[in-house]
Amino acid sequence: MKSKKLLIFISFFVTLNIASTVYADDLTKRVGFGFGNPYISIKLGLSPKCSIEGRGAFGSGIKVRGGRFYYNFNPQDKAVIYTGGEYSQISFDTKNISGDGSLKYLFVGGEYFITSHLTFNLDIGPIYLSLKEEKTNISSKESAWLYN
Amino acid sequence: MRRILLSLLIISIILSIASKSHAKIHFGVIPIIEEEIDEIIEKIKTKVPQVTLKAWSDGMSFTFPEGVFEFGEYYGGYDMKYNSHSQLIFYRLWNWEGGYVYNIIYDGFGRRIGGNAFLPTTNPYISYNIHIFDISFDDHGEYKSFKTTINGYLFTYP
Repeated sequence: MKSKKLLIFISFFVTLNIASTVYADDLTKRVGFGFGNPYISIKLGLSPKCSIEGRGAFGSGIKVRGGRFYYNFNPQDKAVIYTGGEYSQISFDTKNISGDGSLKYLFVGGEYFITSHLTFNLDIGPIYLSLKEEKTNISSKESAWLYN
Repeated sequence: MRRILLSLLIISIILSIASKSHAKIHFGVIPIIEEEIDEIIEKIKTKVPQVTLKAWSDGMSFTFPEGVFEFGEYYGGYDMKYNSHSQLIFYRLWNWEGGYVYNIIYDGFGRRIGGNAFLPTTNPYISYNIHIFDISFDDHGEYKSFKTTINGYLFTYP
């Protein structure tokens, strides 16, 4: 029930942004730095429609490092709708166990230009996660939904 | 306008699938990874030990190479060696987390006569050897002396 309310909120947010004023903008060769929950990133616009991003997320003993590819549907607008994919490597050394793994994430989302230099973005999609403990070789695989 | 409508359609489809899906929705990757780590810990705790029986010229041993036991907050394995009279002559305990090996040696009467522990250092070929105890008995099997010493570094070459 909580997740449904959240999805309604996201839908409302995205729709509201699209209805807002158009903000002509070209993302080519623009570099952006991002901070999120909890991650840091650096993003580079390759063309008006395509961007790549390097991302690192860190928790207690958990490190996630990877890259993203974005396809922007409407880069000239103030609210840019995008889709893309992410692949990241995971390493962990916490709770007396250590190991590594990977994640694959397909997403769709929106980036809202608050000003021409400051944006807010949110994406959602299915994630496939695979982890393996190094000493016992016990692994865990999980599919879930993620919003970032 | 067509692009916006198309992207809205894609978002609606994704959100619709997500809302009908029974899978959990997570905010950020770290919480989902933490959940998976907890799941791995549960799997380690519930793993059934696989016992290996080995025959030696002077007895036999039970080994638990995949065995999991809880030793405080750590996990490891152990094995035991018996002589032909079913008397325990060797007991070894090792720990996956700290990497230490703890040995206890018994005499033919099941009495502890020695033991040591190997602790790792940052160098993979050097470990610290602690000689924990050395108990001796006289010819009649009576306790004679007890000695505990701490040795220096133990060098191992590949």
